Amino acid sequence: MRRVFRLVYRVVGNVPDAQDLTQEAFVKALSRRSQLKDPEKAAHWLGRIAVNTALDFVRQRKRVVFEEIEKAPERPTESPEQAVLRTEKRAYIEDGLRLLSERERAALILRDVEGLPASEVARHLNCSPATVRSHIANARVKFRKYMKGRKS
Amino acid sequence: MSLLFIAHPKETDLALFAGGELGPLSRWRIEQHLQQCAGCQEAVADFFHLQSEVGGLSDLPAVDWKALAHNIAVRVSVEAPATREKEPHWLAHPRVWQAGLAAAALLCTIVVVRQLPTVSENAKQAPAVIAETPATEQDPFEEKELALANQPRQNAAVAPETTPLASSQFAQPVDEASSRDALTRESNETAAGARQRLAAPAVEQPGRQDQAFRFEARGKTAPGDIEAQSAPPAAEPVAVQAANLAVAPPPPLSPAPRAEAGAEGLQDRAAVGGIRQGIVGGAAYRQSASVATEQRKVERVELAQAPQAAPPSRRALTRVAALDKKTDADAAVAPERGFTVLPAALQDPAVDVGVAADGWISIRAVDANSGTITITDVYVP
Repeated sequence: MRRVFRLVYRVVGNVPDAQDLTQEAFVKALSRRSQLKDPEKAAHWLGRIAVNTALDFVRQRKRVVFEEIEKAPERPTESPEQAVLRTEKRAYIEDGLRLLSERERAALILRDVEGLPASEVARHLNCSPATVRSHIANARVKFRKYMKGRKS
Repeated sequence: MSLLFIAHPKETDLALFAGGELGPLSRWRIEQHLQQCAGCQEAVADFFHLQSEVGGLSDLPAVDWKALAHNIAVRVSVEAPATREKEPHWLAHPRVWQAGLAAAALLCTIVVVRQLPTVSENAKQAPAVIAETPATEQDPFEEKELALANQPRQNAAVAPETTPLASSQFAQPVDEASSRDALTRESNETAAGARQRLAAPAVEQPGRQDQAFRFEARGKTAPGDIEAQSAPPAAEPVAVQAANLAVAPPPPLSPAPRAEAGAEGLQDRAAVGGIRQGIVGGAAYRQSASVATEQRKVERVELAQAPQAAPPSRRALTRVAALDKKTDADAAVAPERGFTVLPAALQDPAVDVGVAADGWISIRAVDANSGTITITDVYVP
């Protein structure tokens, strides 16, 4: 469940939507479980359903609503200054992610945030590894431009 | 040699190089190029930086996992029940199974609370049924007179079932004042009687004996069943029962009329109001089963989704939990989901819930005041 939530959250960017979509992903998975041929791959399959559910949602809504800055996770050990810095940085990255298409964003996040290998990202997004590499590369190039633009 | 690598690689290839997604040949070519191109080195450095920045988002916000799991269980049980039995390996998954059980327990909570008001109604209604149980062998007037003599308060419960003519004939031996009194009481309680008729329409129907028999058959697992079936006519146990109900031994959960397969059996069961009585170990006990009007509504809704064929065969009952503090916790969060659950009402009767793997749920409620035991079976696919 946490893994599903994590995947969905990465795509939609906020907790309330991620919670709803996590539930939806489980409902979808159960109603489509006849499509699961190999029970050993249930985790991948569930992950794919989760990511697709989240992508559909984002596509319908046309944009990603990231977490409010104040709601960013708290770390009890850090000082208030560090917390401010971290939330600013987070907002900066999330602004950049908004510039990407849904699939580019999903691919980049699954690869660079979740650390999944490209082949697994491809399975989650239900596309070929070449397509995923293309999404990831385009996402990084766009993001680099965004970072350069912010610096200047 | 170095001239071979003078052409700049595409930026996207540099991005993939930084992420380690390139094949060995492309990687080698870019490595060779980077040795002599500061601009591409900078690009690769940017991509490394970018990855570490984006990777910093890996924190997850605080999430109430328990509540999320609960919501998933509820939604799964409501929205994806249709093909559940077809894929046993999913049922075998512990989380899915736990989720299903949790949802079933929640549904039970709702059903029990909806039924509770009728448990107390049952307490009033039950003596009327007792009086009528032996009616096939006795003159109905004698029987009703007996009921009046033994349990004057229960007259109201009998009255609505009687025609006005029968009531006046019935009232003849009594003096005029009390007769008027009785009639007034009857008319006052007509509304209640009508409600009771709705709740237990089968009581006066010719098929009553048959339904009573079904009920007897259904309670097979109860202790002292044999005594119950061979119990003497009503008058004797009625007297004993009033005194000893408090110590009545609650019979175990009956898996109930699942054996009577098919939708027909289910409808009959919905209309059954039956009572059993007997003497076990010197203590009188009685058992009644009734399905309240609201309860029946719930059941019909569920049955509409249930397979038209016979319900799955009886399986071992899994005892989930007596609804105690856990229920209170559920009740506290339930309003968010649109259910009205009254935790206080649950503390009054002892409620037991049994969930069978085939989707049947048996709920046994013991009313502490009257000793009435109500067993309700609900099919939750």
